[in-house]
Amino acid sequence: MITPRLKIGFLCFGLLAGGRIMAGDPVPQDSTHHIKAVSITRQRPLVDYGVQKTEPDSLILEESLLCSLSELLARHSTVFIKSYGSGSLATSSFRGTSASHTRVEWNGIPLNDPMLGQADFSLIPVYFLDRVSLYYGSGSMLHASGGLGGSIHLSSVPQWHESFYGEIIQGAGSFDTYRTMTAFGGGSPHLQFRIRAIHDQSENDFRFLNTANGTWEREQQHSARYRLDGILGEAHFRQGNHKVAASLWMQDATRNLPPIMSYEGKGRKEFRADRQMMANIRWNYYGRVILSRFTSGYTQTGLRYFLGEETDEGFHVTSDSESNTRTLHNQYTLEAGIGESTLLRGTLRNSLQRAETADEQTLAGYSAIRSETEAGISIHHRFNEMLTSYLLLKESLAGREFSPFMPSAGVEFLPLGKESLALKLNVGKNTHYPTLNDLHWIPGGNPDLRPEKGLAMDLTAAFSQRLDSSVTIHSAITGFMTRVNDWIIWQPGEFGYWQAGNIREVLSRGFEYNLITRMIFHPLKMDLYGNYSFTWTTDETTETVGEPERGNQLIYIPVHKGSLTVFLSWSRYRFSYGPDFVGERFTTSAGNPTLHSLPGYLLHNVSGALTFRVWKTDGELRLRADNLLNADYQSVLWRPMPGRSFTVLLKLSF
Amino acid sequence: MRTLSRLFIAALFPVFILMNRQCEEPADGKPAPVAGKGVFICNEGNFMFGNSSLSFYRPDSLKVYNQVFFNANIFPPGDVLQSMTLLDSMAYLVINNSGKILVMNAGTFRHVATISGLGSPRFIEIVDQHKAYVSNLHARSITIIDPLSFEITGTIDVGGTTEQMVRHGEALFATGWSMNNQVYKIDAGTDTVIDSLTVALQPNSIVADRNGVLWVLSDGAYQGAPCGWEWPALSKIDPESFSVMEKFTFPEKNLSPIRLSVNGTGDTIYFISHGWTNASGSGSGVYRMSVDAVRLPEEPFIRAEGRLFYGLGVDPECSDIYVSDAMDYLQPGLVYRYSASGNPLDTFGVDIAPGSFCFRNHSDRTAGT
Repeated sequence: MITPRLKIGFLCFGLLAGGRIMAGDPVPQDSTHHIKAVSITRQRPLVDYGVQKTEPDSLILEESLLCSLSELLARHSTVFIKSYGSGSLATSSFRGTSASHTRVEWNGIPLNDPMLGQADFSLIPVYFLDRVSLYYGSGSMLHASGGLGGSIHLSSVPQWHESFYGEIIQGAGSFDTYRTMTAFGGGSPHLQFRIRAIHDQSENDFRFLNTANGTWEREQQHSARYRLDGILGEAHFRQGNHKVAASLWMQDATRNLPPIMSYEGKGRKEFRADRQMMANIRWNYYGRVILSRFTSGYTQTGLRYFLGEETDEGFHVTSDSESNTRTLHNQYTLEAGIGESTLLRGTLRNSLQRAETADEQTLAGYSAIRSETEAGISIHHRFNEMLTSYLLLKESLAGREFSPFMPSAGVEFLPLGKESLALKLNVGKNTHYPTLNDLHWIPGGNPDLRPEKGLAMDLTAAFSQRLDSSVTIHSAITGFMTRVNDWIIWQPGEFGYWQAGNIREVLSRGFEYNLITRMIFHPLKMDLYGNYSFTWTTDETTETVGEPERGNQLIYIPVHKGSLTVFLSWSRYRFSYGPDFVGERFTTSAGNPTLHSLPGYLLHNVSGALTFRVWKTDGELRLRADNLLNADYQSVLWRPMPGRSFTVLLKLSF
Repeated sequence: MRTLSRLFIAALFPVFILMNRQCEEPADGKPAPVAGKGVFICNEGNFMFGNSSLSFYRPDSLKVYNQVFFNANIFPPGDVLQSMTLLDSMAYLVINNSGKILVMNAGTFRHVATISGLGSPRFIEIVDQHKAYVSNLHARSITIIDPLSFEITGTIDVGGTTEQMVRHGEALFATGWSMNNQVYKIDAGTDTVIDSLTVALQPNSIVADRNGVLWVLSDGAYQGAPCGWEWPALSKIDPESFSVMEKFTFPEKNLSPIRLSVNGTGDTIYFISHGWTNASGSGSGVYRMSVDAVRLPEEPFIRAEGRLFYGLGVDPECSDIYVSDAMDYLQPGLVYRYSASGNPLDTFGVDIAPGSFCFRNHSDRTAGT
């Protein structure tokens, strides 16, 4: 017996990420459940027209259940993730921009650290996410400014029709890695609660080939242990035209930071401990012609960083710092429909940021408060079945400084009158404010910094094609160009310490390719996901020091990056295989391809899963092998990454 | 089905092409010189990047060989190549943030041994064939090593951090740079501290002139430093009485002078000033001062003119001056070679953050700066 909810679930499963099933298109038959063909019209929100957006679908999220968001993005998006090692700091480069140029939001509140500007994706468990949306280039401006490369939006989705449900997942893997996750929820069609919790720990003591000290021996990684505990509670309420939701996410992580491969000193201890608390409440009102959204959130983070080393007299503490941030965020969005084809949208956001940092050893530190306010208004209009466009005007204020005016616009053209072929053009100006560290860090912070100014443009051609009743292909190719002026970098300055300055002009251009294919050859079902990005990001500063630097690829940004994942499903079995490729990256701005570059690497990952049902409980047993061919590689210079590893997962849900 | 297969292959083709591109770039395969006069340049690299390297320059042929250690050994020196010292045919590379000293054959550049287990080593001063002192940025002691057996043989409790050292007779003098204001006098025979002397904050370098007089350059630290902020000063010290004979205070507080060096005849000292504060200003550059001068020089001997002077070395044989331009510390730097009279002789490219020089002379008896 297939319930309506299940039917909808199967149909949604067929909606490949970014792909669409058009009105009049027959729905492919599932291999195990035969449902009557129906016609579906999927009306995208008008605000989604003209922007480049991708969403890893539920299959990807399910496969990445044990992963952090950094691993998901690295394998299933064109965003490059720079990782210092398993469980360690992982930051993003979106279209060749820096880590702080990726805006990250969770249920409408920013996750970017006000001090550093970046988000640590290794601290975001995929298990806590129901939906991940990536907005590229100026398309991200519709939600928030500051994402010069793009923005990543993480959101929770309630299960309205479940009265009570729960699951427990236990994972165990190589290097003494254990992950336990559990979720319980339920309620009524009007009120839903859910609690998710995670415990993740690893000795992370993998073996690696040390090529940095002349021994050429395989050594065991040490001082790389990490532990993460998190809990996420949510409540969703809906009545009439109102929806109210509240979320509370608390997390605690401690990570040892191993020295680089060439270290042969007396002994060193380095670790960071992160504490995070994020809470938000959202109220949506769906009127006949208006949509009103209010989001209020509060985030509090604490970071202790410690670095010390053994000396003949005992332990010498080089740094022992404590950094705390608090951010109060409020946002209101009002959308008003004017007739069938026009939408007016206004947004007002404010973030009040407070940061305090102090180092007991160096006595360095600062305390700062900043308010960032942003207002934007946009008009979205569908001219006819073929042409839709938007125009967005935005302005922001940080402290007492207004940003440059930020207009952006997008056009989506459907030359065939349906979404089997779509052409999208986006162009816009964007502004990214200096982080609080850029402004106030002692020593080296520069209160006179100007905001970084971006101009982004992209053109996308998206194809959706159903070859026959069992094969659907969706692919999109996007050419992009992003120019950032007054790019902030830290350089050695007065008295030998590093100082922040508006130094660079950076030009990033390239193209991205995404492919999603689904084939059903009864009883076998195959899903294929592929992506590739070519990113050429160069320093175009005219008055740069040293001409050789100009025109070279920026450090730690690969020109080539691609991945492929194939899922094969048959009855209760599922198998996946996915190679990931990251090309060569320079580690200095000179672009010298000898010692100063990291070779590209290709990783092969496989997994197999078996689903079963016992005692009214659904179960899944999964075996996963990462880096199957045991490749030696580094994401950051002289910081080894794990070789072949295995993970076993048991999931029980009711 | 055939159409489907073609579409599938066409869609994946670019991905496979790029995946097959994985490769490892070959190292620079320049043949390494094996003998003769030359200058080693220690390229510090970036802290925590592990991208230091060693360059070798031959002034007779005007040729420079970069990454000579890596090319000879196929592994890098490590994280921050702070300094280098020669003892006969052996070179001792101090890798500060890797906590080790690499011992290298100075002629072939081949790795011979590693002295590991050090804290934060900075400089080596050879005492004799079986004893050398290693200063330390974090420990309050100097480490004693045997340069021939490559072993740590002891420590000297100094009471503060140490930086550059210079030998004078049976005594060895060490500056205490990081958050320190002391110069320590150590009996090299008994390995004990005899005395200490207070100078201006953060004495970063020390040399002995032709008269045996010691010169100590203090940068004064920086605004907000836990140890305070003082006027930079050049102290002239009598090694016997271990007292300050004369103190030359710099005219501005933020000049941060560094890299005190002495020429081969010991009658002229050099240092870099204004190097970070105002690289493009007229006052930035290499300063020259007679050991008999009664005041600090007012004008630079070699103007920086927009260059970021970072390292300084003076050839002990011919007194040629080598000064490095670190550019922006992120890209390979340059070295400018001048004659003793200040005439430009050559310019050559090295690697990231060239900080110190070590001279290998015809006799292979050498000095490191």
